[in-house]
Amino acid sequence: MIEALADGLSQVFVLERLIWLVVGVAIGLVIGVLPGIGGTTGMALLLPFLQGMDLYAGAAMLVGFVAVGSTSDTFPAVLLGVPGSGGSQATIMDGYPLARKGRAAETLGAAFASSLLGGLIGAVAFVVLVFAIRPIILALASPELFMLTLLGLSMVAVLARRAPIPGLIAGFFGMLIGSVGAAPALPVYRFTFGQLYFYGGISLPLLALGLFAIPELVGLLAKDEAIAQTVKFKGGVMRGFVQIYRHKLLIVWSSLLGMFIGMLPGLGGGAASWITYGTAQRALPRAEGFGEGDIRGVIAPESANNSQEGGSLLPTLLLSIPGSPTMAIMLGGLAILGVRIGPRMVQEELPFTLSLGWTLALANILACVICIVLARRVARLATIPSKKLAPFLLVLIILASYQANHHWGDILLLMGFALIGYVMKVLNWPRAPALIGFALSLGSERYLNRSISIYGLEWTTRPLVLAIGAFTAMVFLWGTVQWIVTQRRGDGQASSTDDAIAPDRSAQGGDDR
Amino acid sequence: MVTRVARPRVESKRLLCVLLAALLLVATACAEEDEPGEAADTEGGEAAETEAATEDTAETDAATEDAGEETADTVEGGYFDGQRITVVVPFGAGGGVDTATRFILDRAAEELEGEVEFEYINESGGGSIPGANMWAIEDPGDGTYLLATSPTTVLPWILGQDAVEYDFQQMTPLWGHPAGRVTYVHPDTGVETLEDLQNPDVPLITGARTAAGVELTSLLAFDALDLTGDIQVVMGYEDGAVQAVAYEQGELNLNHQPTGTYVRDWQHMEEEGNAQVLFTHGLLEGGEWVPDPTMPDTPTLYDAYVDALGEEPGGESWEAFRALVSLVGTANYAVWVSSDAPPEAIEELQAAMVAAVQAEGYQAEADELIGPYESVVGDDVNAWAEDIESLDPAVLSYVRSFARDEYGVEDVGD
Repeated sequence: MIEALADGLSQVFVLERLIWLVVGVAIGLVIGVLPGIGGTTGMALLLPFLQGMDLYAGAAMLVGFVAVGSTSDTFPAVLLGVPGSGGSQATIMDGYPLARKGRAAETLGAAFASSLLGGLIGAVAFVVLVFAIRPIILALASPELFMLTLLGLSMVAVLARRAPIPGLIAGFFGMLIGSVGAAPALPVYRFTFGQLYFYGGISLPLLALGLFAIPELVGLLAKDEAIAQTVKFKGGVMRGFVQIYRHKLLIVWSSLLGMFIGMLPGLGGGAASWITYGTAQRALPRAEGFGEGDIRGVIAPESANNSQEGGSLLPTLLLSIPGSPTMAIMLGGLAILGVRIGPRMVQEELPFTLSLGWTLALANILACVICIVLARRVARLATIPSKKLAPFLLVLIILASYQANHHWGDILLLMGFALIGYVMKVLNWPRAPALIGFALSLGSERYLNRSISIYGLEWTTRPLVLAIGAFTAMVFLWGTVQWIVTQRRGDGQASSTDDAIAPDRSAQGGDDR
Repeated sequence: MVTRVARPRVESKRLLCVLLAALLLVATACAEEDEPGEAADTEGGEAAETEAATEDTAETDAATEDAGEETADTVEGGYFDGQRITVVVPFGAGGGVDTATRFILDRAAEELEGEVEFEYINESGGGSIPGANMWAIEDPGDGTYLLATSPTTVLPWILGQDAVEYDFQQMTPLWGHPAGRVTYVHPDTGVETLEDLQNPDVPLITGARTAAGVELTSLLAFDALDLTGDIQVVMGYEDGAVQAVAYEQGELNLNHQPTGTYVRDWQHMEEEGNAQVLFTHGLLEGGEWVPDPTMPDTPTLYDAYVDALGEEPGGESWEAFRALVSLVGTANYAVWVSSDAPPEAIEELQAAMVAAVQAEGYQAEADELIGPYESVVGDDVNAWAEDIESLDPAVLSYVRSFARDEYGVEDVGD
């Protein structure tokens, strides 16, 4: 094992391969920054290079590409409130309010540090678990996977804690949108209204950009503000970077959780960051301020969405089941390079597999360094008056949505969601639950259907199912318990902790996203 | 607030940004090779450049298409000399179909006379139907617009689904690559031979992504064995790998997959005593059943049937099964051009395919990449095309009512 590790490492440090790693990282960073433009576009960019490339060099480029999107997508999430990709949606919740308070640089620094540590922990866990993954995945059959999607869905409780009913409605709305298109378990198409456009379902970036990005833009334009009035540069980025030492436990916990969720097929995209965000809010002390600008609300999801890449490499390489859409790209790229996925990866090909772990670590380090160097300059984006920023952003957003299906319906749908999103924003209805509902809609249906078809009702009595169910109930109900307690306290006097955490609530306009 | 003194500086900075952006646009528009690399490398941290570059990558396709058309006028060596051939792949970049298509066409490109460029458009989603429809609608009919398909694209057409706007009977196939399927069962079911399938120890459960895909061939195989009511088919497994994992987990006790995938990734289950292989579908060559070259020692369904039941299989379901194997087994991956294309164009394309397949090293690489089968080109592919044209309406009818009545596939023709 040690020799394989060393062998893998030596394979990575070949100049030509390192150069390709940098190329992959560079392309990955750019793709990550551009909202809505995701993996498939990147794949199309990488493909011409991959044909006939040296195996290690090609793998280095691929891993470099997939590993760093979750680092650079923090830029639009924090600075513009626009999700760069699935993993950064949860980052918007607290990252954007922080940017609005002028703490963009510090937030970016903390986010990159978390991403780096998350990525490194993910790489380490990848190497460690490469042998253990098969039994783990085999232990998680449809019932267990269903319970995990349920856990993801229960995060709605966290996000909607200030407006439970509207939050639930938003969540169900998301699930409804997610069900458009081919049904997972029946040969039917739903809600297509006879339009071929809808056969492929609705694309996540459309929903996210429509619900979040455009309403925010409209709001800023209406108030004629910049996103942040000033950007505090007191030590700025590096200060944020170093600050994370205080939260090391949170980072480790979030990374491990993110890794675990990444390992599970069918829970990709934003699930890891949402679940980490939600459980952090529940578990941490004085976390009522989540959603208003608590740095821990950025640290948790950012660690998770990087470590998740390391985790999702495992089922991708060993079982050829992509753990997330980015991993599907990885699979495709590896196929072009002529790599045979499967149990061989831990037998004959072990040095190669382990070299991927090293590459993952290196890519994360490189990405973090690049992002930190650029952070301060890019952070100034937040100070541009919205009247000047908005046209560029709008074009970018529309272009990004058009990438979904290259169909004018994309733009119509974007505007439709934008209208709904704006109304929700004005009414202070939380919009994030819609994203979770959307992400987990098909998966939960698919797993539930399988569970019932195969196990009848017995699936509810499986040990792991009960364990996960208990955990979910705890997470879900803890919020209710907290709420009841604060309500009771509210009858007598206002809770002093609430005021201390969120003094800016009135300045923010109490936006619930 | 911008002061009077500061304004000229701001103006010239803005002008500079705009000029830079315009320069980038022009550079990307003119560059033909490696433009994705260039566009990506020139990204800076500046917002303006990022916007411009985004527009670049989005417009690159349009820009390079213009550039391509400019050079299309010179036709020296072959029909396609100096032209660009566009290939529509209604699947995601890097996936199985995409990989197979690029594999054969990159080689065919070298065999075509003159300078020919291939451009790939991935229009994935909607079960490949929208992408194939787009091809049918946008096809200029001059032979420069090709379509790549897999059974996922062909089955909806076979089933006569409303959404389908393409017609294989108006297309000419250029190349196909077969794929066989294998069926295996868990020893715990007590099933060892075909006969045992009728009386397993425990109910048989298998999976499928959908009844309107290539799984239909396997479902028809079970139907030919009179098992349709007795096997529970759980739908909704996203793909073969997930389904195989479910089998290994014990959720399913009967499974069917492409033989190539099974041999490459899942055969360890046999060694571990978790799988008992029953039969492969086999391939049809010249109307005769031949063993699947990936598992040559495993009996085909035909052979296993004769051995176990002492008579030849027949009847509607068998004919339907046979028809489907010939349609989607013989050419699992396929590349098509519309039949309206000029005959010389089709001839050149077909000749290029034959040359590519016969070139040294092709088979070895094909074995690794897309499955150890012999690609179907030239005369064989024309024979296959005739199979499609002469599809017996009665058989088609059976397939459709089978899918609709047994598995609830809606929107099926008559």
